[in-house]
Amino acid sequence: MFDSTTSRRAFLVAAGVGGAAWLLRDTAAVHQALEYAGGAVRRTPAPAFATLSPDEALQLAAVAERIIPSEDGPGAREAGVIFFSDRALGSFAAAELPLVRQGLADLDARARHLPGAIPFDKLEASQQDALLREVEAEPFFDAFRRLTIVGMFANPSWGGNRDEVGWKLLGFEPRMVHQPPFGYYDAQAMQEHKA
Amino acid sequence: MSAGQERVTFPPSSVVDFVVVGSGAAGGIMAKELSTKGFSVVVLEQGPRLSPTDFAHDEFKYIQQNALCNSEPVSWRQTPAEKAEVGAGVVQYARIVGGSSVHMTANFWRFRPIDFHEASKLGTISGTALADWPISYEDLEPYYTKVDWEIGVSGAPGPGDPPRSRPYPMPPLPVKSSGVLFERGARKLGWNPTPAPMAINSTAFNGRPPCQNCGFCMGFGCEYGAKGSSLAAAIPLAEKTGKCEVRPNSYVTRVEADDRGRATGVIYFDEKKQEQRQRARAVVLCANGAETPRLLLNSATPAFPQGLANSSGMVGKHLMMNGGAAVSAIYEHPLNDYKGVQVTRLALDWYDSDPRRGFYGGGGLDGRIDANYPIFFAESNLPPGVPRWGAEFKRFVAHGFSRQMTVLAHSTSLPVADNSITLDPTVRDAWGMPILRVTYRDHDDDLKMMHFLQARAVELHEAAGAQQQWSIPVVVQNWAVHLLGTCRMGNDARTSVIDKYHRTHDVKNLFLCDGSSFVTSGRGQPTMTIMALAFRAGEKIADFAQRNEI
Repeated sequence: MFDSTTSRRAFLVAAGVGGAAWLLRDTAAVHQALEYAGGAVRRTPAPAFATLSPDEALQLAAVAERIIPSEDGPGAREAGVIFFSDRALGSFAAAELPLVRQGLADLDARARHLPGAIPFDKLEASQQDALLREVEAEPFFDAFRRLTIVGMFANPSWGGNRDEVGWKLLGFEPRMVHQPPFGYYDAQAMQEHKA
Repeated sequence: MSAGQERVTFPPSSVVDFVVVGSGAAGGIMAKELSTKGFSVVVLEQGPRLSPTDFAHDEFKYIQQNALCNSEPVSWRQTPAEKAEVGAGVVQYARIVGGSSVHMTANFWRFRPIDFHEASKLGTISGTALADWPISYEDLEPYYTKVDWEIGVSGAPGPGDPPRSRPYPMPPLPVKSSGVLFERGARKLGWNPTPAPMAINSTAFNGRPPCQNCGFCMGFGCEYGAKGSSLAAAIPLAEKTGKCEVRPNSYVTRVEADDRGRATGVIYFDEKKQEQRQRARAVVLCANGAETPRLLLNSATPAFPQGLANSSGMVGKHLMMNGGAAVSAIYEHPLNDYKGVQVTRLALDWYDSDPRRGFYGGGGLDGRIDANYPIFFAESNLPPGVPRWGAEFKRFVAHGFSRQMTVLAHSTSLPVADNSITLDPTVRDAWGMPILRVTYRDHDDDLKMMHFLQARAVELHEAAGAQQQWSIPVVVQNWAVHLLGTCRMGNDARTSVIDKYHRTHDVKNLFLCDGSSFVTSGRGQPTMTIMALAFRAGEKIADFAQRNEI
């Protein structure tokens, strides 16, 4: 059975700090969303976004790409996080859409106050990071972050984690069967045992 | 069940020998024990029936979204003086055929003799109802052995183990890197690490396959049937008798009683939310330590104004949840601890309460991946000081995921009368039934024990050579997973709800068996004991029925 410390932490994650819990109650809608999102990441050119406007998607994708950048290997962009986010915000995470929109508007206003008055996605990475640091305590930032992390590391069937790039980053092998030794220390112990 | 064999069904209008409410660790075994003795049994389960092919390695669905679990609101408060608020805490159990035994981690420690007579040994503790059980470890031992051999437990004898009448049927599962590090650190500290007893097959056993080390146990259903859930290991045997129907999507709201004070059956809503009545010669509630008292309290009649079987006023009282604490760490080399079962080594060196600590309590530690699958690890298990996003965050998760391990502490809860399950006075669920209201605050000694064990977990990581470690803060718990003590067993009808054979003191043909039957909490892993109690209760209840004593 679940340990209470563990599942309480799991719940706090699922419920988010500022946002509503993501719920999977309407299973038919979720399945439809999944089917679409799962296919969307594989299609070229990518299909239209279902929930976000093209500009919202552009800005949200730019945010995700700073949360998990593509330095040192694939990041949110390569994982197709934005396709996951678009469908999530139209289905099981719909309750968070207003919060996400509020966050995008906030970032846009901040970006347009900078010299040049250009949108967030056109800023230099260092400028984007500086703006995100200003808002990282805001509830909407938690929503951005959660969408990015789930889109990066959830099963590809949820619409992100394209080609399992998130799992490859972590060194997570999604197999149905594993054989010992599993890691360095049990391999070491096995060797000592044989010696 | 062999191909082509029809599962038996009973029309709700028929009177069966037993209706069992709940199909989890207790209900599944109860159904198997009663039906194999020749009695007709209907098991009513709130949730759907899933088969192993319905389960999946899908962290987001099962860990973040709790797709197997109950979803009704619960109200929560710390003391009776407060107004309980919906959302201030959660009661969580798996709502499926097989109950929480389907998604359990499968840590199957036996209780030790001391758990059954601790009050006699230590004396009373003020502000608590610490009491002896009316049965001893020796009374329960044959049934622990039944769990070992009928459900299947993998393990090896360890120091301090209680006496056992037969060896483990299967050797321990392969040790993981977390187990090797745990053992190394514990030995350095002079502790006594031991292979973890798990209800997961290490070899093919009883017609079920061995574990494939896929790593998705805690919070997930086993695709292989290697985990000893009642769904995999008990319910098929019950159904094979042709005497037992497991009826899913059946939400029981009341136990009915007649003018003579006998239970006549239960009222439930079926899949289409139509109200139904299942009549039976006897009723057995195995609905868990929250739902069993809720049902009794919701079954008040003029003859039983405080709720059914509640002349003592003890129904719902003495809720215990077990204590817990966690310390995570990063090691130099990859452990890949997501592979294999959760736990392979543990230490129970603090099992007995020790007056020198200055407070009551006992418990143990184990090493594991915990819930730190990819999403959970990246989202919530960062050490202080690591940025929550950006290039440095990415470097940490990329390096840390394979190198992480968590030491989890498990400990006692004292029975406190105010800690309780009651009916919420205003909020109703989707079936029109009052929602669970929880009143709970860990006893100060319970919190001290959690802190004590957390300090030991820090020492363990240090001794094992962790490069970096961080503690998850110990807080007053508002999350009930282990649901214990709310219809306690006892010889005195004034201070307990059921007798030592699980029969309610007040209603001769009403029996209760699940975590609610516990008198004390044990040290943190209740499912083995719930199953042992169910084997024992099932045998005794069948004996009563055969002798016409129900």
